[in-house]
Amino acid sequence: MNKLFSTSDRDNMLEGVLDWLDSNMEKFQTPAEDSITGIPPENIKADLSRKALIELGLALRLAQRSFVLKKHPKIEKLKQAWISIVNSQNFFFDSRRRIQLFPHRVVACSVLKSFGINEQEVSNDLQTVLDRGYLDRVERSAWDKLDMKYYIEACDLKHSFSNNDDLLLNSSLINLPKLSYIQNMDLYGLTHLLFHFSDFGSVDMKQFLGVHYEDVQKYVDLSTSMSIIKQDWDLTAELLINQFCLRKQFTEIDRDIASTLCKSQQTSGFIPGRDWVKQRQDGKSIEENSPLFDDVYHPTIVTLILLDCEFINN
Amino acid sequence: MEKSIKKIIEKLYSWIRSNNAIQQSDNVIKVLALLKLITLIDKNRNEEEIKFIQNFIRNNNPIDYRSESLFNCILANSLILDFGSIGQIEAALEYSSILYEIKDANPNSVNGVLLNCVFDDDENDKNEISPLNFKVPLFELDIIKMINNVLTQIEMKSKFGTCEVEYNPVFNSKIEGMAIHAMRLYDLELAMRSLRALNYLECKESLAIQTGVDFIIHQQCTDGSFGDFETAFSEVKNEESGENTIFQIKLETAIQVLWTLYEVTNDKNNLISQIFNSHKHFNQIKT
Repeated sequence: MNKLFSTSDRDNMLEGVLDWLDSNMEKFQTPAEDSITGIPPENIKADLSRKALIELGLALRLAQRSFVLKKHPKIEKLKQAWISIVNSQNFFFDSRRRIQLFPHRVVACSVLKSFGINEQEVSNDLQTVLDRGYLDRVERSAWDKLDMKYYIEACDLKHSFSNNDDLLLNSSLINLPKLSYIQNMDLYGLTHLLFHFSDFGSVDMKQFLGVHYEDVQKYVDLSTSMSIIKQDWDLTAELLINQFCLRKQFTEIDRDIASTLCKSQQTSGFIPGRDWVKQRQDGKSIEENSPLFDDVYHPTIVTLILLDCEFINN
Repeated sequence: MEKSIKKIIEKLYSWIRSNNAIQQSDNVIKVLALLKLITLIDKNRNEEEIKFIQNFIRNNNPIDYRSESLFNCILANSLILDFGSIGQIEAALEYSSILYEIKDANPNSVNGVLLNCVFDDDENDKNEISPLNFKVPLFELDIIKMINNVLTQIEMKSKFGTCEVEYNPVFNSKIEGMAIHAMRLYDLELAMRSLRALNYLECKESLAIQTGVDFIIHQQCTDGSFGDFETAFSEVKNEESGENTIFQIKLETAIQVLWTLYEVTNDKNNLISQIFNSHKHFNQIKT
């Protein structure tokens, strides 16, 4: 047992997050893909609504690894709602041409697979796109490559990306940028590398990172301390997920940070983003200070992923 | 590390010496304070350098200690005790006597604590271990103010690192986070204070301190001064006293940098207690 949260904190937080997601499900609606016409398919770009749906899918995919969460009625309800959006919006429409939407589509395909749904035609289309020899060959950062590769492999598709050992050599994990100058986006790069190299804790990172393990662990610890001072709940939750990725034996410090994150949760269940905090400081009433979906959905979903990890590991 | 600090000091020293603004009356205390720190970190000053310091003291005598921070005044005073002539030392001792007399006037202020540390005569107090606490507020936008308050708490309760304080690893990790946050904001003064505070908590092995020392070293400019403020300075540069304002900010930054480097790169070397303890003259005041 290696618990990050107390049982009551964990359970209350989970119920709150699931309730908020349930009551905001209509905001995860993506555009009806077959209604977007009149522009070349190659020029259609991913937008925030597709991103939000995909991220929710990720959290639900990971929840399938926990016996308790898989059976949770609220998770099941969200799962059905998610599938319903994918179907009703014809999410995989024209996958062979809309290549800028490929990263989202391959994630969606892996999410369906985790639900036991095998969309063979979608898989075939995505494989054809990869076989055309473009997407896995253009210049990308190790972070981008690994993000895409992880979900391509989760869909059992073939690709020509380098193996993880080679990607590691080209990543910032073995040459960590100085924290004194770090930008938030750099830290998101780090968190994603750890999510996907470790498959959210399934891979032994001590072995994978070798001599770099201790440095990465210290770096994640210090980054987490910094993000909690900034009251950046989104980054805090991502970095705590990284602690699961690194299979850290939790300390008093980690539990204190997790407990503070827990206290940030609002009555309706969402985890605040910075814009919401600013509004609150401006003295707006609770009614006026209704959360902006774009601001709070991400920290809330990331917290669900963190809770997934807590359930999977305990 | 020692070698690179020596190099840093050399560059900084030549920056001060080549700057005409050092003779301006409102810069004298800051220059003296900085010279004190330089001599404290690198004790091997050659004859010519000592002469420069002695001339500087002589040219600016008597020293006007008003309108400067107490910390800088204490450093300046200490330099005069080190390098001044007999007459100059007498005046410095007189100033020290005044400080000694007022040291208990406001014991709960930062300056009160500073004076008590300098005079270091309250051993009983040092046996009392003060607890340090901090809870991250949930929705505080003024993070700088929040950090300043915690740092003041550490400085006051640890008496600038001269006495033991009680804290847990959770508290410690928060201060590490604050130091990194301050560096990311490029708030140099806050970053330096945070690093010193970490040192008072005896976190010498901390990644935050290692990151901080590296950060400080890379803030030295080609001319030897510290801090990249080109954008901020572009507004004041063309004002009548612009150049002097810039010099004063650079001096203050250099003082903060050397104070921090001195403390974080030396084992158990606390600047405040080092300043006056080394002066035989000073003990005369206490008796």
